[in-house]
Amino acid sequence: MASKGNLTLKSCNGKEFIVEEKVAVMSTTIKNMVDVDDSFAQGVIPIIGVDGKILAKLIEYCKEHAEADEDEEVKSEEYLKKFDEKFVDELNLNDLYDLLKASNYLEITKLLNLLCQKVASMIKGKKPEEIRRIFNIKNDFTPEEEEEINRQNPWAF
Amino acid sequence: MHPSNLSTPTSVQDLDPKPLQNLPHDLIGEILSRLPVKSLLRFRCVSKSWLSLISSRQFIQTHLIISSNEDAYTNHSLIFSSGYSSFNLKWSALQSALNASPLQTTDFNCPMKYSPKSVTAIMGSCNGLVCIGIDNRNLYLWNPSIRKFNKLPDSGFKYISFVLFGFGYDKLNDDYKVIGIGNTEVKLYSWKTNSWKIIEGYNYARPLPQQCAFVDGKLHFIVNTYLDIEDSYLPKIVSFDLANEAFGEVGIPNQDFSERSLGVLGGCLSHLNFILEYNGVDVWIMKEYGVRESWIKEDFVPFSYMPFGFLHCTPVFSSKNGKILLKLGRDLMLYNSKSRSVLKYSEIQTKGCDIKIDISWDCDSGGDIYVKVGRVSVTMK
Repeated sequence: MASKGNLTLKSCNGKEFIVEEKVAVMSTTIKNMVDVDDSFAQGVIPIIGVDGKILAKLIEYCKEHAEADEDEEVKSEEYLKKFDEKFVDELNLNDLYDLLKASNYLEITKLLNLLCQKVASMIKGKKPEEIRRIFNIKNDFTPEEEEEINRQNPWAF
Repeated sequence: MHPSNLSTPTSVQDLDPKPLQNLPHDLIGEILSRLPVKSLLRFRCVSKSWLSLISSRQFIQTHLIISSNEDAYTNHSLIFSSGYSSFNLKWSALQSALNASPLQTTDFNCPMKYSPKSVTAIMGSCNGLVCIGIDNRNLYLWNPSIRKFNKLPDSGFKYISFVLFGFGYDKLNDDYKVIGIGNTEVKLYSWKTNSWKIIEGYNYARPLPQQCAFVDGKLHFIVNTYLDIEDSYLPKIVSFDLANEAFGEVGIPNQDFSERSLGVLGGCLSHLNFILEYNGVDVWIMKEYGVRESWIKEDFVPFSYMPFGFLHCTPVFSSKNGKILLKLGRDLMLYNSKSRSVLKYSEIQTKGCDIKIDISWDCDSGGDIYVKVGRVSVTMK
């Protein structure tokens, strides 16, 4: 059992992580669980649908940010920016996707913003047909409709 | 001038793209709301559900909020007008002006038809829309990000160069409005009704010919009231509430005898006093809107040189990390409050200068912002 001030998080594949409460409550979902039900603070908090590898990544991120929130001197804005950049750059697409889903479910707003920004910067220069392929979207416009939409802003292509 | 919109050498193509194929719909919205407007316009044809998402009012508003709060100011630009006929509107990335890098100015691809001799004046900018006047005659609401504009009906003012115009957003009625204060009458344009009406109850002197400051749903400008007995002028800040369409006053930080101007810095009403003997300006910020006691003197910006001619200084922008952009005469200047240094951008000489954010709002559609499939844009002829 975690000592006072610490919480135990358990991934869907049974891996347990003992983390400081301030780190865990970067997740609004976990914060709400702890606030509402005291037993979570004592026992083990199951993190549904998130495996150990992704949970470790989430904790790594939250740890840096929780520490920075606490002491700006030690971890400056500049430092965090560099950390964030490195954090997203090192992700492969599968991890990026899993982290997106997990940070959305756990409501880790800062991380969700960062990851969405990352995907946005990956796709911003793409053509519509590339976008359809990447996101597996079926084009449900008739060719006439598509042409009409594109004619409204030809300079954007 | 959006190099970022060209193909980016990222890993989407190199890797198996399968993971992104099952993203929940709300995450798609989160991602799209972080894209530049140009990409959004291109992605409207991806599918019907993407078109309706990108065109939806809620999405446009979310996109605007994210754009305007982005820390690096990548979606902000500076727009310049010269007041001379040989100079069209120009723009420049706000980010580069804040980073003291050489200012690259680019001609605005301005869709409004006017001759090369036309004179343009920036009346104001709000939520990505710019209100400009062309040739002292016509007024336009323009969204440069999507290259759409809307010509306002005739205001009835004989010469708009003698009228003080202010532009802002009425949140209560979800409407964009332009006020015009002329010599003898005050008129208000509403985007929703696309018409002008007369506003009664203006009991102040003629406003100083400076751009209005839009804060807290109200437009602000300075008037100097002549005091007979003392043979002097009493400066006042007059406000116009765009929602209830009434005039009011905001306490002024000081009544010193000096050149003064208003603007918006860091979202707050700001006031500059030009201090001749120190060759610089005092920068005042109203920390809590409407509370006179909350005016604080944030900084003193010294000028490294003695500018010639009419010394009018206006606030343009302040960044979260303590950099302030000011316009002094026709110069644009950057003041760094940490190093207390001042830099003058010699690349640009401007009469009017404002900040614009990227937004995909369609200003020409007269109340109907939902872009319909098959709707022909009538303004791009």
